[in-house]
Amino acid sequence: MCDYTLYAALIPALGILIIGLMAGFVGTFAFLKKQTMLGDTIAHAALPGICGAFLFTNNGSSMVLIFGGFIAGLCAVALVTILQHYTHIGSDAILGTILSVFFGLGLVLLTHIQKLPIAAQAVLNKFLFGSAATLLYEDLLLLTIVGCIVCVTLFCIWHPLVIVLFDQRYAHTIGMPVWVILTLFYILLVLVIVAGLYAVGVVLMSSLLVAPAVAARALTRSVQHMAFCAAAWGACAGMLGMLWSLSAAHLPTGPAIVIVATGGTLLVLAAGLARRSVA
Amino acid sequence: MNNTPAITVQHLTVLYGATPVLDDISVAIPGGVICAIIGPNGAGKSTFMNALVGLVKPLSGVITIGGLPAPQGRSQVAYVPQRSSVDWHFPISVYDVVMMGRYPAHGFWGRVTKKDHRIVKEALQMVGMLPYAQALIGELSGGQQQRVFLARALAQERPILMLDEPYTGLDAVTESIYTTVLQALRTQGCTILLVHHDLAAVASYADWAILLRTKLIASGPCGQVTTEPHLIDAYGRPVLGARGMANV
Repeated sequence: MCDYTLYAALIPALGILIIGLMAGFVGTFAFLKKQTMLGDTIAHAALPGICGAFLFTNNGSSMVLIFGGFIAGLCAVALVTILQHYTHIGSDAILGTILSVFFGLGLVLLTHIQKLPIAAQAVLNKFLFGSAATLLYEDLLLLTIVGCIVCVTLFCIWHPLVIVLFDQRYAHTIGMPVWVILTLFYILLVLVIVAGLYAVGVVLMSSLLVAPAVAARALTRSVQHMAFCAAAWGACAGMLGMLWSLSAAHLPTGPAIVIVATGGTLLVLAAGLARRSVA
Repeated sequence: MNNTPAITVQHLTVLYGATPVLDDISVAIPGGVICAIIGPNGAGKSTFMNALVGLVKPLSGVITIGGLPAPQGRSQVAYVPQRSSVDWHFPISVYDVVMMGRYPAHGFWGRVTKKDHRIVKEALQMVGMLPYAQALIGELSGGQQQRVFLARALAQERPILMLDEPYTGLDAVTESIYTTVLQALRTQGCTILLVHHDLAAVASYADWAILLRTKLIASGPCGQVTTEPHLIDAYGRPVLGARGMANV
């Protein structure tokens, strides 16, 4: 019995650890690209994909739903990129519009599914605010695979990505495939966000990308240190938030993780301000 | 100066929307010169350089760099962009910015060698920024930042150097370092192209000039280009006079 309880607690803990690590790593680059709002748009835009995948397959397995969210997230990024490239509309307006349209569509589909006599539909509600405690062994396996893909790809494109984010014009002039590198980065961003949705939820997933990166930026002086610091803080905040969520009745995991991550980040920023005012 | 053109441009036309920014430009720039691209605001100076380095896609025209068509020839060019194109709050050290100049040589997945470190240090030494190697790029003054970008271009070890408005907003020390380094590179046989606003200063540092106003007004040795009739064609009025007057 004791072993079973330990096993049941270990799976969500490892799952949230992987999500926090990935969010910290990829969130660092999203922060440096000044694209943190894009993360919010992707997270919200995944909802119609998740609902669509459920409707299409009548299957509530996380693999199917995450794949649906991944496709919808990619569509949202493609739309944002096309509109930014071919129109003179500001980025904030584009991101806000895409987020609202996709999330609205997702809520319509979710409402429709809730009226259907299918027992498996209950799983969809967990994508709104997250439920790390109900992560299964299969989910952990999926998160591990996604985590490996994200880390290996990120390490492969690390130097080119840093150059592109710092000085895109220079990257063009030395013949770097800027478009390919940015596309790979956006795919990783969508992958990380969608993989974290089940545990953190569409509403708050972007906070887990941003908060660790903001804290790490205040504490470090290089991209490498920033990424590792953000990954460490993302993982710690995830674990602490999950423990808080497990210990309090009816507290969804997503808000608990985000409050811990953001609270810690605000403390770091406040300490930095206090140190500067003393100096 | 040598007689073989380092860069040739034939019938180059660039549009922004439906508006021509460069209209049928044909020039040949000899090797081993400092060539200033001059003209009034909106004349297409930066666009001309952007077309050479591949940042702007021309509507038509043929560009040859070092005897090769532009896509291949660009591997011989080091480029120093305008200040505005860079994220100055990026957490990166001066040393790492200059090291970016070495990636084309050893590939993005290759290891940084001792030779790379030596070249980076030499480049920083040349522009007087070695003591600031570990400083963050955002902690430097504007002039120091410009020197770091010159060092990055030097670290590329390319025979052709292109600089987009390098003298804009420079302090006296940085301007002096820029001039010294560019003269030294010319002596070594490098070809240098730079976009500049200050007409009065052009003759003091450039051997060659290209005067633009959407169309080519004149190109050739500096003294033959910055004549009053050509400048009136470009600017609509006489502009030569005291240094600094010509920022029109």
